[in-house]
Amino acid sequence: METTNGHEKFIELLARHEGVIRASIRAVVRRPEDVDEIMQSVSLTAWRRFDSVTDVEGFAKWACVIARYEILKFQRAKARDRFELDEALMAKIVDEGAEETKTRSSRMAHLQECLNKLPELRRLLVMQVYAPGCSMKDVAERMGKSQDGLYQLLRRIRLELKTCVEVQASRTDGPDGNRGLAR
Amino acid sequence: MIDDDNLRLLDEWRHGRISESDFAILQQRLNESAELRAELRALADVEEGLSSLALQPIAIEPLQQPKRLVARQWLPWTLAAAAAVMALVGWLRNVDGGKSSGAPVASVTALLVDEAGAEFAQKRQPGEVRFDPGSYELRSGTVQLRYANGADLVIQGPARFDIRDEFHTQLLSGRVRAIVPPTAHGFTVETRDVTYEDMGTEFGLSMDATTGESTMHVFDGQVNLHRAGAKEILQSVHEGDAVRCLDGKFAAAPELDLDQFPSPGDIGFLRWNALRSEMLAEPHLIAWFPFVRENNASILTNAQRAHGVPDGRIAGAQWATGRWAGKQALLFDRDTDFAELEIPGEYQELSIGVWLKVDRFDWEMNAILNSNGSDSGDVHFQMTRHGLPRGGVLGPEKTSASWVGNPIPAAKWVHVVSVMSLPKLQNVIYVNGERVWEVDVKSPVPAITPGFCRIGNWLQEGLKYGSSPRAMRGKIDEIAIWDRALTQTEVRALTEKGRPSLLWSRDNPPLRTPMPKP
Repeated sequence: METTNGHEKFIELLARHEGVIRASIRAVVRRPEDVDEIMQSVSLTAWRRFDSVTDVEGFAKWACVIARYEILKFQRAKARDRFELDEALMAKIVDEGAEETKTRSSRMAHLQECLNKLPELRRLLVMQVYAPGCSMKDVAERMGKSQDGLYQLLRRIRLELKTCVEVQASRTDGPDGNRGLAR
Repeated sequence: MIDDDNLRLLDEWRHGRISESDFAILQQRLNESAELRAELRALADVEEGLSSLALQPIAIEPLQQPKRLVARQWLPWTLAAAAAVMALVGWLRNVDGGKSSGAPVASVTALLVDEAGAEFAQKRQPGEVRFDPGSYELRSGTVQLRYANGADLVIQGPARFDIRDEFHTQLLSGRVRAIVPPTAHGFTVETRDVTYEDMGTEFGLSMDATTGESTMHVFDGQVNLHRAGAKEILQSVHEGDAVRCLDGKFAAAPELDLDQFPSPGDIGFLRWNALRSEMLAEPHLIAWFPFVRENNASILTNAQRAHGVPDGRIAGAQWATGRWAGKQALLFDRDTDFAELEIPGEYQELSIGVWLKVDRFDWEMNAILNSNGSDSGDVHFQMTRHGLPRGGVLGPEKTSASWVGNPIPAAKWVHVVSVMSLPKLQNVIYVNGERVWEVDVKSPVPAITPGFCRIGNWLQEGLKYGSSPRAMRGKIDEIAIWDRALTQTEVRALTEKGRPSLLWSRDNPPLRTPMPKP
């Protein structure tokens, strides 16, 4: 596929599935900078190997498998963090996730909808905290809250959003045996 | 159902608040429970989605501006692919548009689409080719940025600049050329004292950080000048005019030196020039004809002096423009136009790379570079009437010969490389890095001996017997010869490095008729 069309197809597929691929990494890698770096390697490897892709429907799964190797490579290359998951566990989480890419895309697609259901102040708060360059400490100070208090509030909001996207995804998409969510 | 304790552990681990003992418990539970692992992924999905949404312009005004947007390392584009990316920027926006139509896509402020020798300072560099709002320092070289609105900025190092958004860039020092299409009207480059607002078209701006003086030349269209931070227009400058500003006072600008403001088209030539030392450092490069016109215009200089291949002699072929405005080429237009070379010595492997642009394929065979004879060990390299390349070393009996790729098109700069290997019993010709001609031979001749050769027209013995000429109609602007067989990867890299422009594509159209038999 090393043609202009190949470029375009690759760009289209990566743009479409970038969120899911990044989420796969994010499930096992905590630092956003590390996620960025690994995503970079995944993009590069995927680009180099894109010639071998014959089934574009399976692109997300294929890229998640690449992500698994890039995560392990990255973790081995850097100093071990004592709160880093075991390699086998990490691989298992990513591999299982690669089987759920449709569900995960669907969940992410419903996020804006769920975010809009939040009260205005909470929505503002979440966008503040997840905006690049903003730290929780800064936001807590600005809101006059303790960091711990803000963290607890965010934890509740994240759970609310997670529940909401799962409900929305199941309504829209119907039962999905591939979901991996036994709820 | 995931209980609260497990949810707490997951969230605390994800946000760096977990204790060592709790982490051990969490790992054990994750190992045992597929449900808990799925929960972890679901939380990661939500957080990734939130991060992506927070990157996009939304209706919510942040309470404070981010200090500096952290560049998401989106894609490690090759520069070639960057062209396709920018073409797709509009499409990407439509795909997402900030709505929940699919996985969110991060918006792009500007991308590096071309460069020559660019070196950025640490921590003031783009993420591969992506420029997000922030501060940059180009220490040397030249870069072309394309903003999401379509504006191009060619920046010559050393330069320091801050990108605020797709319409606002501050030039702290250095020189830039801005090319602003209608979609980017209002694109501004700010300096310490003055803001230059392009009303469409093209201008060059230099900024001296020591004195604070800025000088601006309008190449085309109109540029409005505002005092920094103010909306009021101080002055409008039109095509052909220039202005210099120091401490808020305007004065006549010095005479324009166009070399100070390279255009996007110049970058390819700058890059090619920068390759010179890299090319000459390759020990197997035995000759490199960069097609630079000398005082004696009939000399075709071989820049690789270490291997005893002499300069060539030009007969009839005219000097013309090559791949870039400043690059020279030889135009072969008449049957009598050619240049002659001597490649002395005997070789087991040989690669000949040529950049050419064919006007027409007038003859059954159209010569690129051929030994003057047709003896065993001679080299032939030519194109058929269909533009299909053919050739290799003469003499050995072929077991197979076939065209396996698309022909050389007319009216397009093309990189054609003939690779001959006696040990591998193979001749291959690549067009823009793709295999197009393959020959397998039974047994090798003792050596490849090109000897005296002609470029652009063959001194063929056949003419004596009434066969057609084998003249070329078109330009050649570079020939390189190695005494080893280049790999396809190497050929592709050379094609990429010598690409004529950002929008040039390696792909060529297929033959419209059934592929002929060799």
